[in-house]
Amino acid sequence: MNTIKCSMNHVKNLIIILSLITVPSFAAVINIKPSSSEVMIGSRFSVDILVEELGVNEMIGAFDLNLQYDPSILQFQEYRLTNNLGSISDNCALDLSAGLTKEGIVNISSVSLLDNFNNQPNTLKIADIVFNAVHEGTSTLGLFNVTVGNYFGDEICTVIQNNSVQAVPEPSSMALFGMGIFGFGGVLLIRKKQKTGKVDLHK
Amino acid sequence: MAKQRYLKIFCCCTAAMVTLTSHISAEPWKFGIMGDTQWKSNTDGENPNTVAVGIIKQINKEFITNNVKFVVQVGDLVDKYSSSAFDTRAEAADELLNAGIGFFPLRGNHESNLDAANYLSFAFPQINGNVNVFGATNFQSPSSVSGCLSYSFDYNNARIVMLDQFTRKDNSGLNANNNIVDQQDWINATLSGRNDGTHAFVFSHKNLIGQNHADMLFGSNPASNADAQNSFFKSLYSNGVRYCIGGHDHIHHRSIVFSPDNSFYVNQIICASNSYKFYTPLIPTNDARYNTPQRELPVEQELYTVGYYIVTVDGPKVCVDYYSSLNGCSSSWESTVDCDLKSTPRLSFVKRETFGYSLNGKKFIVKPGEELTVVTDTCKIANSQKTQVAIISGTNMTSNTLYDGRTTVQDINTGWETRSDIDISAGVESDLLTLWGMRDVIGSKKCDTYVLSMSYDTSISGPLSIYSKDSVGNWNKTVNSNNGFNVSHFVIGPYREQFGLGTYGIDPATHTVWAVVDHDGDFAIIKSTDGDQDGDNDIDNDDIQIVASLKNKPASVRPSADLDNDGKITILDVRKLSLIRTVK
Repeated sequence: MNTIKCSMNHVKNLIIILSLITVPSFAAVINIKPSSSEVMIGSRFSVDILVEELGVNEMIGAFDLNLQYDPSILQFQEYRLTNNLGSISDNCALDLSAGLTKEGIVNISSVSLLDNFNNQPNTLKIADIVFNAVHEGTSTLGLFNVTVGNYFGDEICTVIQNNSVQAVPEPSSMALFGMGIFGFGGVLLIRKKQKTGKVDLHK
Repeated sequence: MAKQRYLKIFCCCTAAMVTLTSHISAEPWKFGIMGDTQWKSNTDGENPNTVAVGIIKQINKEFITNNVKFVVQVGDLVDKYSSSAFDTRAEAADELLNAGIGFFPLRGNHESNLDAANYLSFAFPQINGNVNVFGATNFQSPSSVSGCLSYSFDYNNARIVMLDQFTRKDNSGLNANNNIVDQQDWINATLSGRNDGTHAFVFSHKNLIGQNHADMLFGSNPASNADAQNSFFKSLYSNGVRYCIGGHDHIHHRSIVFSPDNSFYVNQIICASNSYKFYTPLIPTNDARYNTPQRELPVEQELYTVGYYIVTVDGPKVCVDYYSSLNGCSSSWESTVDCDLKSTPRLSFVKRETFGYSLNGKKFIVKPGEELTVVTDTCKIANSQKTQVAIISGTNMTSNTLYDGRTTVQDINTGWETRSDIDISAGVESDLLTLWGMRDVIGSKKCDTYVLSMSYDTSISGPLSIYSKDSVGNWNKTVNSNNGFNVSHFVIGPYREQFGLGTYGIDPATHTVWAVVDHDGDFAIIKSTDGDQDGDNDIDNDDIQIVASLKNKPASVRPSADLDNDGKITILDVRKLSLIRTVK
């Protein structure tokens, strides 16, 4: 389900007659994109946080968001910020993420210190979060308390597209299980034939 | 008596010539305006020959203190004309002459006869421009109108035009109602013949629309001689005359008066009383009685006070300070009382209001309830910063209701000085804006709350704020001059409706600074240290880290870190602060 967050009214006070820059009325899409919708239990996978459909001339200058997941199914491993807001190691951006704030909630946050965002694409990945699937089931991946700021630190309206991921057993386990079932079925069939005399396996 | 005056005047000539050679300068200069000075009976011995000498002398002191270059009086010099009465009035001006201050009178209806016409230049020879002019030059009179006592002169960058509408020296013009008509060509030539970039002030005794008297400059009532009035208004408007100044009503009254054909307008100033007498506005007004549609928009008014005017001419800017005193018949400004003075009151003058205009600015008339956002202007002076100003929020909510029930309009004027003309050492980064006419009520500096926005050059970085000069000339943040309850808070980003009085900010997106204020005056953009969190007078990563460390905390933990003023400290505040770093 999409949730619309639009706490700022960008153009209501378009009072700056002197303005050469106008803030468009639009909503960027925050998309949660797991590397696969189905992951094997015990495997490590990542969830990309993407910002899509940025308006013309709009750029991301800061974000702060919380990802909620089912900790009985997934286990948080780490988060990785991209350089789209500037390199953290070069002091061109700040990593203000809190990480795992409590079971089932991961906070990631960054603020750019750049003066020039010429390279920012219209759709950009701002971070990914790495999980382990630990138990079978489906975990919703939902964002809440999302704040996204533009170059000027003004809040951008966002449409959030939540997602989910299904943890399933590993393929090898499935095969053994299948073989076991198949073998068990075969034994049952032989015993039944022996009783009816229709099958002589030792002939 | 007159001979003695000539001797005194002659002695002053040398000083006058010195002044003449030095008066044309870029320095601001001042002149004074005073109203009618007739007096009834000299019961206290201070007011001989029906001249309000007691009041005149008190006002003379004010003019001398203010270092004016000359004083204009708008007529009714005496109550009952006689040559000795004129001499008395002239003697009362000696304090000014002795201080090197010119005195240039007009006649009023109390000295309207032939004898007064012929004696005026004896008592006041300076009106011919020969003596005692103290730097005034280029004296002209309407030579094609025989015996006419109108005259004009120049001082520095201004032309003063004095219109006499009474009986002329050749005993013509007995009907005062028509005496401006045949002067119109001279008025046109006088106003249009001055240099570019100079001011013109037009004086007459009677008004354009009186508040008590129906008789006016063009006849017995404001509708008289409509065609002649249209020509007169057109001449003033087309030649950039902003103020037409009169007496007669003994009321401090300012209004915008439109021509009968509604094509042109001029600001009318009726001077406060300097006399024993005060008048009460008529209800209904003369405008309502005689004009359809009505032609006057009242701006400000004060009744039953004694007042004078100091006009400061500073290049293209004109600033008028109106000072008045209670008339001795009341004890408070809120309840001034009409009375006929029997003895000279001891006057205690207070600046009651300031208004003005600039030749390089704009004028906006805002009626009650209308938006102030019509006010926008750009400094177009060569080599200026091309600073743009706009009122981006605000309504003319508070208007003065006059005695006659009319509500006042705001007569808002803008004016500019270039950055290079002002105090660059103070860190000024814009041209200087002067804003007049925002005040609500006479006697108060308070204006309706509004949001002023000014642009800055895109090459400038770091925190900037709008500053104003205080009364002693120091630059202070403009929000510190607010009159109402003021919560000062610095914001990075655009103004938003929920921001209250005292909020101010910089919007890097539009390269503007803005402030929520309730005062007018001078405004300029100056570099500040707003946003500095650690008190080291810069904005660097240390300051950013302080704000970042408070992410998602309520603003109350550190109000200065809530840079978008939304009540909480967020990553948006961190990003905003990064935009105005002074150290990177």
